[in-house]
Amino acid sequence: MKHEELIALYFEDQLNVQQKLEFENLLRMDTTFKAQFELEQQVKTAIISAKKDVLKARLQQLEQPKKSYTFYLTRIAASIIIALGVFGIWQQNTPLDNNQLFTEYFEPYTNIIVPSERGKATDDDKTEAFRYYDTKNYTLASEKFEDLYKATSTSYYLFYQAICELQLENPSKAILLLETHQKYSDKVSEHRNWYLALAYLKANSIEQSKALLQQIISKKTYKYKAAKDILKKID
Amino acid sequence: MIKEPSLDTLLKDSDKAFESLYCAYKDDFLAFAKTFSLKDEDITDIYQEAFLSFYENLLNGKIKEFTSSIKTYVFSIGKFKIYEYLRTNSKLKVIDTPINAEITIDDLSLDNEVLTEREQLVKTKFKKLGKQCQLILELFYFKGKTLKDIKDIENYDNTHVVKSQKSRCLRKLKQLVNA
Repeated sequence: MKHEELIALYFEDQLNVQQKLEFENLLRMDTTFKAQFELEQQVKTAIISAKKDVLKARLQQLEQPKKSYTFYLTRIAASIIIALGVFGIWQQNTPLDNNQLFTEYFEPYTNIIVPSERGKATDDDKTEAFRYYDTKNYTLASEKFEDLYKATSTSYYLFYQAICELQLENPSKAILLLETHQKYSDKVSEHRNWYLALAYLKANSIEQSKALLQQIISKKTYKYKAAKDILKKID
Repeated sequence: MIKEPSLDTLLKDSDKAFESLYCAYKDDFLAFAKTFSLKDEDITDIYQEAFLSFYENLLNGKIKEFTSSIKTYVFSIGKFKIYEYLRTNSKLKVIDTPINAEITIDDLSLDNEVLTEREQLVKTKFKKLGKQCQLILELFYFKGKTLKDIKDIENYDNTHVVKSQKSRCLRKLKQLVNA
């Protein structure tokens, strides 16, 4: 039996006694077989981990407190401080390191607005924009999100456009979009600071990134554990 | 207690099903965990971790059928995590007793997930694959579908086509990981 089929049977939990012996023997003796098996196990772990991330984000969203007037004042104050930071203290770090760190932690946020449904063709602009986003066509997605924000002033388009711009290596534009998004409270507000912190990191605005990462950690919001890791690395 | 979803429903419509379970049992879990003198924010973290562990064990096939209510599973895992927290923080020497003797959580994976560098890389690169590749690999590795199941679900002509497609996707992923 081909090695590929043997590994497939393992994952299908359908190995008979003889195949199981052959499988274990190959795992011990054949390094190519072992490497292939390990890759497939890593794929399984990676997929489960990605699924857990989605559920975790959902559960964390359920824990968000109702927004109060004080909350908005704090937000505005934070925005001013950050804005002052942007123009005042533009500290340079090693560009390569920061970009590497960004690449290590950056993942486009899931489309939670118009989840794609297989076989269902809907052609309104919103669905089209998110379809481009889901299929990683970030240039077209960014243009669509920009048009949609202009037309509707719906804040989450700013967020998703910013993610596209980060994918397209335009951190400055992403920062502008995410800073504009700071005046809104919507279903992705919780996640915005994480991406803004990463955008600052990519643009080498280390102090702004640190301030935001510290805020994420102290409030235990989205990705606070990853924020701790980054902070340790850039401190 | 709410009417709990079946294992199939949990896997198919996990977001909604988990949200309603999460909300339904939160107050009871808070009350239960407070008997251990924990802070609210720590309890919330533990409660979320209990749900994520439960989900992970559904996904990796370690829970194949329910031998008790989902609430009992979540509370048993939650209690394990509370004890783990207390042990780590040296607050208490604890002797564990099961919540419900009908289920055992000894065989489950309950440690907080820490991906190796390689697994993290595979995870990042997996997201760069095309949608169809992601779908096939998800159906196979994550939903435990056989190649024949995938042929039926995705209307492929035969299982050889599915097998070739899956091999192509794995090769592509391997290239991305090794690039």
